[in-house]
Amino acid sequence: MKQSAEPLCLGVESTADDFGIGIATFNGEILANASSAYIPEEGGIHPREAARHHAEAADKVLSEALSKAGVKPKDLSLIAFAQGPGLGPCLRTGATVSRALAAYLEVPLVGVNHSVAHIEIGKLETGAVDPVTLYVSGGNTLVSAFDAGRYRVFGETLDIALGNCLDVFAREAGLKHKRGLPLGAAVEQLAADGEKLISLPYVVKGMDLSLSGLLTAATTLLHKGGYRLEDLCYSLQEHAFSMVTEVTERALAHTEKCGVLLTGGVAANKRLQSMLGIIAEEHDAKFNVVPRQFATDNGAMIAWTGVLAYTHGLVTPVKESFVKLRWRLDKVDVPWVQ
Amino acid sequence: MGAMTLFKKGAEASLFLADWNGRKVVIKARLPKRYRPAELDAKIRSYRTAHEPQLMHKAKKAGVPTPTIFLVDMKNASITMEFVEGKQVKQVLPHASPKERQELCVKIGTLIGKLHKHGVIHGDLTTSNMILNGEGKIFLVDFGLGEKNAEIEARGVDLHLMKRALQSTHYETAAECFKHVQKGYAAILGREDAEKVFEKIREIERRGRYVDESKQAEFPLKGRVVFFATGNIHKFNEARSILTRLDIAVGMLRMKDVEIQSNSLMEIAQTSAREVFKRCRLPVIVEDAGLFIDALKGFPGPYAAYAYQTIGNAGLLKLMKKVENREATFKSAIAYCDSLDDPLCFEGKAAGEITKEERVGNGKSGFGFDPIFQPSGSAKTFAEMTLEQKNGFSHRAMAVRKFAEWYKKLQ
Repeated sequence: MKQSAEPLCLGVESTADDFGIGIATFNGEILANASSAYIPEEGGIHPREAARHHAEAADKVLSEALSKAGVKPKDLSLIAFAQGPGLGPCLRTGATVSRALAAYLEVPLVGVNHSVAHIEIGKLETGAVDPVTLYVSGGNTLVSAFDAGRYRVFGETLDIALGNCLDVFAREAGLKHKRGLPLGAAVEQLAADGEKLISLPYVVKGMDLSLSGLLTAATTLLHKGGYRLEDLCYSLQEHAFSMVTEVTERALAHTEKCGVLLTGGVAANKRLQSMLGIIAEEHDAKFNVVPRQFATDNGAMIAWTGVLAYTHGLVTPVKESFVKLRWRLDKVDVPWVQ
Repeated sequence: MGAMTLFKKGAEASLFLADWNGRKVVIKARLPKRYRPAELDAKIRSYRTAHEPQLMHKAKKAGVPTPTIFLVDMKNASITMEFVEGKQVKQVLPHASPKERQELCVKIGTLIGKLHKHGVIHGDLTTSNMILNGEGKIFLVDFGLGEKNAEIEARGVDLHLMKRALQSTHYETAAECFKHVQKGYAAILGREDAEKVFEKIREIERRGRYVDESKQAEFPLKGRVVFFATGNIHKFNEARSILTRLDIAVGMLRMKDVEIQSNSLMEIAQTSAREVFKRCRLPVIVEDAGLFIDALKGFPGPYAAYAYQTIGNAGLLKLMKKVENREATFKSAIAYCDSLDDPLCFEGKAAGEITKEERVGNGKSGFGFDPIFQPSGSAKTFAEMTLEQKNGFSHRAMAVRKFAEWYKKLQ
């Protein structure tokens, strides 16, 4: 049993296909980060199916987190949960679990913005200071930087997210989930053997970008036949990553920040990392990538952001703990960032 | 070429100051980007280098100040152009007085309007790409991401970018600034075309998952279900009969009326719709109708309900007793609101005449001034018609239909 005099925060993440519970100390030590992923038999995430998975997995994931951290429920001082943005049914499941825990343990509840949490865990784990953040996942693609009390959004996708673009292409190509690896990883593996760059749409509009045309073009060529799948994966990645890198570089030039942080599920991609590393170097900025276990959606990031919020006076009364499906990053005050 | 000094290292290109045949010029060089494959990089750089001067020329012809181009070097992906003496609007805006700010923003809107009217999309509308010279002229620079495109989608994305740029760099005054940009834009493009672009911006904002929570009602059945805020069951029944036929379910919201004084039906409906939305956060429609009698210079107009309650049909007939010209128009304005943005408006009207006496049928479809209004092309007053017949003629039915056709597209 851990004899910690320090207060502990338990965080619940359930915005999309992952149900995660993490436990963090108020000093930013992550004691546990347990999760269970909903993997659809075919197609993309069905929100209600995912929510059912979360409800069924909650108990197991909670026990796992508590035992890994070596703590008892009564040791917890705070419950944090991802209040949005995300899929309604999934968010509600996590919120219900969190309200129940907070009420049962008679501890405060704090609702956390999922996108803020991705940035905060990245900063905590890498030591990045005031970076331009590229947050790329299955549901989000945005470039942000802190200014005047909030993380401002400097660029984002006008349509689909980068992770979604890669996942859909992978499914169209008949690629399957490999154990523990997301579909995007399958694209990355194939892309490594790509030799020929096939010309595809490249759409950057100012600081924003559009990926749906690229996906459609790549999928059309895939079904038309006559192209090596490796070359298609390679070309898709090169185009898409160049676009997000260009947008990140624009934000970096505009804000003149001294760091670049890559976070979110797609952050694990080595090719994307290398591209961002190059622009960071060219602008004399330090480049950081969030470690793999904190790159995908996870409970630890919610727990840590909950600590930050709570220690800066923020709590979420139960009657205000309704989920916010479309809670924009730039609507959240982050008083803990200077 | 004399010595070159780097004065701005952007993400897209580097800008150098140089002397060219005795002129102060800017050389915009698109340097290779190591992060992307050489092939893709070359393609992007040469495409942008070739296109930018064309667009700048087109913009100039449209009446938008842009730097004059002296030289295009495709091999090195560089463009030599006039150096514009002045300050970036980005630097000027925060120190401008409210009046100056308004003027600047209206002017920016005008310039964007001119571009769009001539089929040019700038592609990177930020306040850093606008230079205010000593004579108060605003130059647009950096057309590197622009394109020739006259589609509403492209215009919407372009103008949305301006909005985003204001929000990220001038957040304190962004809302006000963008309103003025819209004003200038509409002045050039015309209200109708401009409104299509503004609607597109709202659509773009709904598309991403980052919709402003405070503005957007979370309502999954948009396009299928709407709420009609009214205290008048007759109005509700008329609207429901049309909407259900078009597969739109409608609920009645009994709301205490928002009393506002205005001579415009549209304004009354819009203001009420916004108020109702704020209270219930549901997609709502509000209708305001008026009877405009030619001989009475448009009386009672928007005050029809008030006139009906005070003088009634008998009183109005008395006013019209010796009047020859009996022409009148019923008008209806429906405002739809599902966010804090300006509600959309749909109008309908029915021309007809004021009868000599009240005529009521067996059916109980009419209300208000219906017994004394006979629409053109009918021998019956509204009150003598069945609900279906009335809906074939009425101002309200016309407005409801217009609304329904539009609303169905939101499904």
